[in-house]
Amino acid sequence: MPPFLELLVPERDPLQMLLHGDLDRLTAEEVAALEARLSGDEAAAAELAGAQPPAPDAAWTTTPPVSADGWAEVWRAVTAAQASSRQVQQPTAGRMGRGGGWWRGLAIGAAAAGLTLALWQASPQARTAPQPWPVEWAQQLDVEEVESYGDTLPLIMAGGQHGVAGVWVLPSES
Amino acid sequence: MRTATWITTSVFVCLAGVGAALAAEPKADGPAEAEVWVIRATTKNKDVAPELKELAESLQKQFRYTGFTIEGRRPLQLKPEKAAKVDLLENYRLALELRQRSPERIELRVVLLQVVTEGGKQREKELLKTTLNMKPGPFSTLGCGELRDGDYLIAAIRAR
Repeated sequence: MPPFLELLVPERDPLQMLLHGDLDRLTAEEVAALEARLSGDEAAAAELAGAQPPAPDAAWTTTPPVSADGWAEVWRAVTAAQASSRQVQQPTAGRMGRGGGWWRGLAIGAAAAGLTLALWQASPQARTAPQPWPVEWAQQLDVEEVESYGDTLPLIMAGGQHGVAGVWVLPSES
Repeated sequence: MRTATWITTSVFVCLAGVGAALAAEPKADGPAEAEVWVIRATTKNKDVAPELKELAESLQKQFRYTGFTIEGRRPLQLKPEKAAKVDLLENYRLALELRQRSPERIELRVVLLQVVTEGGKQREKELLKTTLNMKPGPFSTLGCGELRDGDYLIAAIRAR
């Protein structure tokens, strides 16, 4: 420690610090000095042997107990502080209420899904992907023109109550 | 800032919906997807393929055939004014040409051909020519003719 600071810092007595139980503040040099001093001074060693550490509840006895009214006042202050904190936080939850963030996320997810679907529909993979095609039989057919050749006759099946629509080639003798 | 987020999100959702609708709509002048099923009708058995049940019930009222089986399925793409040919059974062949197309109707030019060999050369002989105006999706039938074993060949045609 610089000499000029020694004038500002109160003089340390390692022995008094030891008697007061303030062991954590002792430096290694002070501990070594104490050991040397106590080993050469039987009277000091005897005094130290009879010394008792300060009572742990000594600090408690110096603090006056809190009355019931005092505790009630403390809890009122805590409750008031919590309420004012909640009021400050309310505006940031949004006009939609506490679920505002959930709705926003849903809307963004729906938009992303819709955009992905649109991009997929326009992609070459979607164009080449097989589309479902259920089996159905025509009940109605418009035959614009029909010509048959050789020994055959065409038969137009109108469909509906007559069955599945189509054009048939039949032998002329049938 | 919050209002801007909602507006931006709403715009994105609308654009995505419009985009999907436009992308899924088939173009009127684009190719049509078509399929031809090759069907054998017989009197030798009563085996009916599950997909042909309605057709069998319809034809059994008018013809003597009791068994209906699918001999082949021929998928094809039809481009406007460009004929596509598919072989059916034995020497029967079908030529299909897309004439017109709309979401409600498809017009096909259908020519039934028979491949014959004359003078060592193969040529296509026309058996039937017809123009069909059909609803996109369901099968229309084309009765092609008799096969060598006495069974009958039917072509079921659909396009969309």
